[in-house]
Amino acid sequence: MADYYISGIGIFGTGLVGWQTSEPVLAGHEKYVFADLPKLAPALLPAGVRRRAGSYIRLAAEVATEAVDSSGLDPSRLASVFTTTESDGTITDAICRAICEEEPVVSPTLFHNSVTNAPAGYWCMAVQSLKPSTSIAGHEGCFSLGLIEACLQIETESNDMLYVCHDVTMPYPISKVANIESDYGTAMVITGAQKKTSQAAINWKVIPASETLSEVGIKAIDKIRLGNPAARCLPLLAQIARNESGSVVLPYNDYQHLQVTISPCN
Amino acid sequence: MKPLRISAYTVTSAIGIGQQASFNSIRERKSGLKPCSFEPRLDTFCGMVAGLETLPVRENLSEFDCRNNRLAQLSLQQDDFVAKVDLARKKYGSDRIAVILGTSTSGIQETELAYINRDNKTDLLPDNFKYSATHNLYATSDFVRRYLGLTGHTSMISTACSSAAKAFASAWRMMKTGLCDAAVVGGVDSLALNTLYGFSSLELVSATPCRPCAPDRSGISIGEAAGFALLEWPEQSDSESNFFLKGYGESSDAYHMSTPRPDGSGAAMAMTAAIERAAIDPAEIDYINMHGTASDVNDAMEDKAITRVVGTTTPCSATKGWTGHTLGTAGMLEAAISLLALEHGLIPGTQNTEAIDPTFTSDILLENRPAELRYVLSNSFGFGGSNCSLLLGKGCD
Repeated sequence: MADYYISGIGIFGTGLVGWQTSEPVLAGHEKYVFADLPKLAPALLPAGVRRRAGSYIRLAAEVATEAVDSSGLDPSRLASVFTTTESDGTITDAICRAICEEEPVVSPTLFHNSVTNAPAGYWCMAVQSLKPSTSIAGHEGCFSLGLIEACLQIETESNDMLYVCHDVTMPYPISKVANIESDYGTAMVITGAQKKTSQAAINWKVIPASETLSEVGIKAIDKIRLGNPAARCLPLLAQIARNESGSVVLPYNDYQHLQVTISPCN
Repeated sequence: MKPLRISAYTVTSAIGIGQQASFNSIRERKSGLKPCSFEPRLDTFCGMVAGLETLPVRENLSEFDCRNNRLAQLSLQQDDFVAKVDLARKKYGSDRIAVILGTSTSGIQETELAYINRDNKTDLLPDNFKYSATHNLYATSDFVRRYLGLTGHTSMISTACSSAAKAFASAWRMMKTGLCDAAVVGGVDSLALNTLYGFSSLELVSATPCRPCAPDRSGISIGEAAGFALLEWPEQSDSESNFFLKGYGESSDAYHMSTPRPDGSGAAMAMTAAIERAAIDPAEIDYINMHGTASDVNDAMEDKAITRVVGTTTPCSATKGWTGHTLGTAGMLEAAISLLALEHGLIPGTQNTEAIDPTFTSDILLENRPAELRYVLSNSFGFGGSNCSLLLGKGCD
């Protein structure tokens, strides 16, 4: 397969808000500084939607907007892939509490926002993209699953892609079983041809799971990586940030990892 | 596109466990919709698969035990499906067969039960609640992969009611690029209070068995189903199946979270893309299995979309009056019904519906009609504006 190009990046995690400020931190040029996550109010979403949307929808809109803005591409022409492990735990919790009542009453807005592809739906509406959009769920390997799907759509359908991978914390008590320590999301615009905005060319191959998974090498950032399945992609972002050729090994499934090779575009 | 052989398939829903029982119910016009014993507090009809309560998943996978995975297992056990996947596994290797399924809510009933049984002081969920292997969206794909002894690419697509249809598209891309040699695709969605009360809150649930395309249609009936298909390249397959995935088409409505674009243009885009990928003329389509939920807006927009894409003379029907709307697995269930139609030369009518909405212009059948079929289009449209159509056909030329 030919190379794919990372032509826009968005990131939102603890101490990693926005690619411009996160890039030197991930590259190891600047010190990581812990900061509570700012409240998200993505301008992309209409006010009424934004008011009723939880962090699962807001975070995706935030990182998608950043990636697309930095790509300089027309978002309505991008097909999209979204991945998650948990979807919207806040809604799951609210609806499951409601159905325990003697006369269950479920909020219609919560219910229609409960579909896994709600962030994708709102994204497509906001940018008026009629292009295909796929929402995929995985465990540890959720980022790799989405990266593969996005690249294969470039390969087989010549689409340029928006790829969003994110997971948000869940409320108590379901938080006890889902193990997401903090909200995290990454978005990438991935293109089949090099653009002016392309930062890195990547390619990947499937390797045995006996290979060691990559780390970022910065303790606080690796803690984020291990605290949210969507953040398993941080070694890839760190390699892009370092602006050096190299490769990283990311989780994919129980038997296989994904080796991603990265070469800078400038 | 290069067609993929559907080497094997199986389906289980309220109208039958396995292909033959399902087809018999269609031929004999026996609906699977019954008063909702799953949740008697709701005044509605459901397409429930009987007996799951007494059919736990096999012992070495017991952590996965839940209604959704029980339904998956029951479906896998029909139509020699496991034996056919075993043959493929021996031929290609366990890591060369992908598992790509669709679901809307996975085993969410387990979380509902855990909340109902949570500690009334601390809110803590019961210790025996195995969230990751039951409700988590990936759980059923993981279960099916293990059940079939496969060790490769495993994913779960969750785009509401288009999920399982999109699994076919994702599998074609995987196979076309050589990431795998074969794929098990399909879908599993089971009854849960979340969906029953959720659709009720949107006033989309009918108090009577759903009547797709009727002038006074009154909303959906919810059902549950599981189905699977084994996809292989024809030249590598030893199967004698003459059924093929000829095309798929995907689009986004970009209109509303729970209402389709009323002019049907998003749906039409997916249908057109599937027909173009199959490189056939729209007039060659012999039957369209509609998404046909019996919701007011869906059926009206779909009629417009069909009329726009294929005209007004192609026989169409909606089969959810038999099965209910099985949400994330509707794409697989209705692909299987389309394959049964191809195999038996019988176009299903529209169960429960006595007359077609007079404003509709497409040729929607009420009665079953025998016909020699070659190409069938199956539509699936979901919340979030997620549209997917599959073009299935006989023969591979």
